[in-house]
Amino acid sequence: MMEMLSYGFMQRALAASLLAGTLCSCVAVLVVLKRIAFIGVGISHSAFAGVALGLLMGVDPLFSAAVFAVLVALLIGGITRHTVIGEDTAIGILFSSSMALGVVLLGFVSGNPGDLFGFLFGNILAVSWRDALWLALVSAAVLLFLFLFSKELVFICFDEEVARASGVPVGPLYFALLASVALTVVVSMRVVGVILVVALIVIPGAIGLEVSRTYRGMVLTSAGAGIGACVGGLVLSYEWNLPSGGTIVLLAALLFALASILSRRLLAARAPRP
Amino acid sequence: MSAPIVELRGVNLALGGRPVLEGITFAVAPGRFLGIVGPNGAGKTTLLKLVLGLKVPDSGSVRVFGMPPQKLGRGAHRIGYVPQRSEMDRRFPVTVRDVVMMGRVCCIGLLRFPRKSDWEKVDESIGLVGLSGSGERPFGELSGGEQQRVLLARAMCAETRLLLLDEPTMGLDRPAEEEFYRLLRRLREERGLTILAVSHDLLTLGGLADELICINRQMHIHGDSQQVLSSDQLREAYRCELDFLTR
Repeated sequence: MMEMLSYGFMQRALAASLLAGTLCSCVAVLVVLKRIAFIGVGISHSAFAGVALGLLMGVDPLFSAAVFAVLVALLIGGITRHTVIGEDTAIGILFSSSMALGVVLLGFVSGNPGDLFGFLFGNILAVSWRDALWLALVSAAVLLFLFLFSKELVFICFDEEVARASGVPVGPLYFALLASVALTVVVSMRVVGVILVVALIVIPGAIGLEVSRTYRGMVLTSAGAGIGACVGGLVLSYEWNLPSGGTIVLLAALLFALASILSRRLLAARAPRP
Repeated sequence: MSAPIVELRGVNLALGGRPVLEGITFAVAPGRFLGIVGPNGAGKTTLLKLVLGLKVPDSGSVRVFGMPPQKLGRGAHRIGYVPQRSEMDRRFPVTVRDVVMMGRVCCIGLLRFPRKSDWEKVDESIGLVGLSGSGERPFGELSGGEQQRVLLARAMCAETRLLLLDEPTMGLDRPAEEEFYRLLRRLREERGLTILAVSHDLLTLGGLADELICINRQMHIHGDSQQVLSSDQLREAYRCELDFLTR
């Protein structure tokens, strides 16, 4: 472990996995409670077109992906809220066409399109201090938003209609939540890639829901699971020479399976005996 | 007569091109209990949503506390709403106190956190519905009747003057239903609430409310409960369902 940390790239990778684990798991709580996991899939895949656009225009792919993903997030939110098109249909169309746009745009990129595999499936070992800084800044902004509006966000997730009737600004907060999901996905894509990042904004929240009976408990469990999966996956991938993104996601899925079994055992133990 | 708390005049509303409510006109005076009955799909819940300002009529006017519900602003705190419980997720990780605190979210305001006085108000509301000592219990583990009382406590947790209830006893067994209505009657007497309750259960609501409105897209009848219950026009609204309901 100490030997691992003597390398600069591993120090950066560890910082990125700690930050991404914390950020994604806190966002995951609301993604799971508001049941917008499929919206997360749509947003994360759309980031690929943003990366391609950045490579083509010669701007930082992280920046173009952030702009593109936020726009797609707001578009999905607008379509699902204000039209009769079903949410799943809108996302199905938007995420596949975003991926298609990315593929077509990449065809126009002359020369080496860069670390495309890394964008798709993550390459945490290639994280720069600049990437880590962006991750830290976005984490601070998104976590502050989630903290300051926690009572309204929980109300909206629990009972959106009553929240609206009580005067909670449901629309603006919902769109802000979608934009937060988009930014989270983009700054975390270096860790696990656009294809796998959705796992980090869903699985920790699902683990939290399995084992917690209070909101605070869910946030803490989710954060523990997210950080554990990211850091644990990084260490395992280093020790066993495995792809880091895939290892992190598989570890998160394993933790979910364990949490699910544990939760059923706890429920069975609590149930009254005949 | 004092100004009505709720007033609808010639309200028409169509959803997806299909008329849901036509020519609805009624007023509710302070302290009165109005029951809104009608068969399934009659537009009862939509009527409550108009009063809550969640829907806007295509024509006609809705006034709550003398103004359109969308313009109530902080005045919305005076409205408590108990929605249909079937729409709740039983696994949602919240305690009884968390749920009741939602009733104070708008009194507290954006970018502020609940203070000691808010939590005292929450505990007072929980006591009001007879659930003292259950504040830390997970909401999803309560019985249907207890959950409904928690939602009532949430609706009562602001400066509530008008209480709206949507099928409040749906899915409850008879003792839980009777207990809920006893509680409602007590709260009304103690707090002088104005109540609008929607139900397809004509007889129970009829025995509790001062006035009844029977709707089936249009208004069929509005009057004192006993007068409505003995009216032939009920048959028109409910059609064949009435024999079953009044048996």
